[in-house]
Amino acid sequence: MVEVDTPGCSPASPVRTEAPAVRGAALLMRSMRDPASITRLDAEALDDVLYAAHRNRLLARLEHDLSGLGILQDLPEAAQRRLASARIQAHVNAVTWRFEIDRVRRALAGLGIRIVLLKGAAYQRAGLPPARGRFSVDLDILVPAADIGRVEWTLINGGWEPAKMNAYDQHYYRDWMHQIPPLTHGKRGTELDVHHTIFPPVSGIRIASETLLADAVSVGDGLWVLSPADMVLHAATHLFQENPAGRLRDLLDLHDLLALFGPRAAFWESLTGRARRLGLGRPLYYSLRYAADLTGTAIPAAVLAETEAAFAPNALQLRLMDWLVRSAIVARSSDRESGGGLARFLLFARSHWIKMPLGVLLRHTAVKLVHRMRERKATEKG
Amino acid sequence: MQLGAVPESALRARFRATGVRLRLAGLCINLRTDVPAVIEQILQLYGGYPLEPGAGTDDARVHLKYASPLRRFIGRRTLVFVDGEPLYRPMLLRHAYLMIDSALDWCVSANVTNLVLHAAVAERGGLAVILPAPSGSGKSTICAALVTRGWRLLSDELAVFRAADGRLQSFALPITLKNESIALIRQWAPDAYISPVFTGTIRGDMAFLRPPTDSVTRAAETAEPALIVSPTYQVGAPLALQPLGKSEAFRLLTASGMNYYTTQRFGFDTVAGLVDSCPAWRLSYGTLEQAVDAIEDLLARVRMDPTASRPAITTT
Amino acid sequence: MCPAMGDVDIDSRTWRLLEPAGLTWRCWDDEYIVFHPWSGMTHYLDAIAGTVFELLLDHDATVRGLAAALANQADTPATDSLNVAVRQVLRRFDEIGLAEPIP
Repeated sequence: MVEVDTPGCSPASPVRTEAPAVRGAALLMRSMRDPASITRLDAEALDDVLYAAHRNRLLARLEHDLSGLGILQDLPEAAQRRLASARIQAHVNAVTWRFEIDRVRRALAGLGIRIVLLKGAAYQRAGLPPARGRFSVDLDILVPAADIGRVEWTLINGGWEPAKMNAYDQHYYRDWMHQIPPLTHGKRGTELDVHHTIFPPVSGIRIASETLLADAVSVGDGLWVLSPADMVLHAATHLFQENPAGRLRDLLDLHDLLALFGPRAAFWESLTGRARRLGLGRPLYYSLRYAADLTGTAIPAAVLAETEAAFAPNALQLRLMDWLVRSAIVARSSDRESGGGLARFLLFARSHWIKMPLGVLLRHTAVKLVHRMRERKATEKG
Repeated sequence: MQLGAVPESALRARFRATGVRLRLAGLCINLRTDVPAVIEQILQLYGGYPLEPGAGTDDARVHLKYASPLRRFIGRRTLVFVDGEPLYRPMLLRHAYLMIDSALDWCVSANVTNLVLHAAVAERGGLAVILPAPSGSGKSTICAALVTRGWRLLSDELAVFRAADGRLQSFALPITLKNESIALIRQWAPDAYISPVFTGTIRGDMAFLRPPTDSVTRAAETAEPALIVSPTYQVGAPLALQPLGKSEAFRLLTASGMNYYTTQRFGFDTVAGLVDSCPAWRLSYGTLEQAVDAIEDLLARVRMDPTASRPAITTT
Repeated sequence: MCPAMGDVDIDSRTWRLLEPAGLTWRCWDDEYIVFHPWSGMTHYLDAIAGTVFELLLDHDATVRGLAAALANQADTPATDSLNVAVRQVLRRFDEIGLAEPIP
């Protein structure tokens, strides 16, 4: 394993003359890599880190790591209180989703199909490091594409309700997306996203659910999680084919997964090979590049070189992406802080560009605009 | 140091630049705004509140500002942010203070190291009466009546239970008075300071009663929960007191939730313990005198016979 | 498990509380208030549901067994309507994740 040089945020570099926002972002980045460093901060810097961690939904994860190091009690009382509150919130969130996973499992048990948990649910059920201090807002599962109708019907019979949608939104999900329209449980109000693949087919990248399901790993009770390579690729597409602005947490997920799976035999080969076959080389390249650069993930130099040669965009594009990601991946406050606005907008535009061919994107934007205007008119009248 | 003791110009500058750090319900909340009218209202209502010194960790940051740079001059709408997230849609500048009040409630409920229930709380001689009731039942009005007759205000809106021992913490914001209760309390306590009336809000007319100095300076003192009274106000109605069933009391206390769900076992154990140990009553009243007398009488009974007030736990 | 469970399914199974560790509750005036750490939720149970809950705390049971125990406690014969009531309670327990039929 090679420790990669990390020019973006070595502990000594970027914390001098910048605006509070930039300072908060840099301090947060450093604190997530090296939690013990926060005990050496002055009161104001500590407050900036905790605030930035809160904005990025990382407070409970930070608490978990500080607690593991046995240094929570070295912090001022108010900081401890804030971290404790985040810990309780994350605990309740975990209870909520643990129960919800069990409810979904029971509702679908009769179908005799593989239910693959994705993202936070997978991390929690498989006991993987990104589960710590996590705060999820919905539950994502993957089922065989051929069974999606049965699954949807069974869930709706079991108390989940489909979102009220107009014909256009239905068409958007049914024909273009990698999931059916979100379901919400009528009593518990929890949101469930049922996927049949991990990337929108409208993009031109079509990944058969059988491919993913065949390699899945059982976690008991009829529940499964993606194989290590697919799990990393899913996290990678989730982050870099969508909008990475304000998504430091997702980059840290990748860091955790790569750090965990990296030492396993043949992991890197299977990862790069799988990315090539599924057409997900570019997001994998970005993931490895920025995980190494920003979160200090140990990635073999040969793997970095190989993915760079095979999947990197041209130099100009790469430089733009570097700037976009570095200036926008840490979420900032919309009140005290500023900056990164252009980078954020460009990343947002890019995420749609990637998902949809240009013609489709333009039509989608136009239709959405008309709907929004109609809605606004309706609310003003009512 | 008290907020009112800082020279006004320095305080205004601090509100604009770093924010002013207030200690409320055991938390440190940073309050920041560049809207002059709101600073004015805060100075009127919060003059006696203790300030936290200099820099440190805030439990929450509240920032009220103009909805956009242009809004400073035209349209005049403001937005409130809690920890960087806007809490409501923009509101009229003349209602801006209401957003501060709600934002502070929000901050205190969001800190889930404490259990926070929707109820008014007042204390006398170390014992607290908890007044749970739906909005509009007049709990703020009774609370205002009590604290202008020598009771200490803990809160007219949120009962805050400390995790360590389940004791009640003070969250003594100015008391919200609505519609008829504004005139009622003016008449009841002519010497108390009541803010100018905010007209045309979603809840009608609103005004804020400044808490007695004693309630603000003793904010660090906790109180023991001793009595539960669920009030209902009806013009001209005779006084009526009925025992409130324990499961009924549990429902009332947890009804509007606040952070009950998030506090999980601590929340359940605290509320169940409260219901086990405190006598609970349903009180309907037609005049404030009746209500205050009745509550004082109930608390006196608890004080005289503490064993009777703490019946054996009926868990099976 | 089929989400809409028929009476036959309910009757033929033995029922148990789901993850009963750490359950805590109060019984006041014939109403049970139960905190279930597994779901994180607080449930309000009436007298019959509360008694079924207590019986299941003691041991796993069938509809017939629960109805018999209820009848025994109330000193009345086990009637069909008691079976119906128990079925309703169990269906509700299943919905809220408090109990489940043993597979």
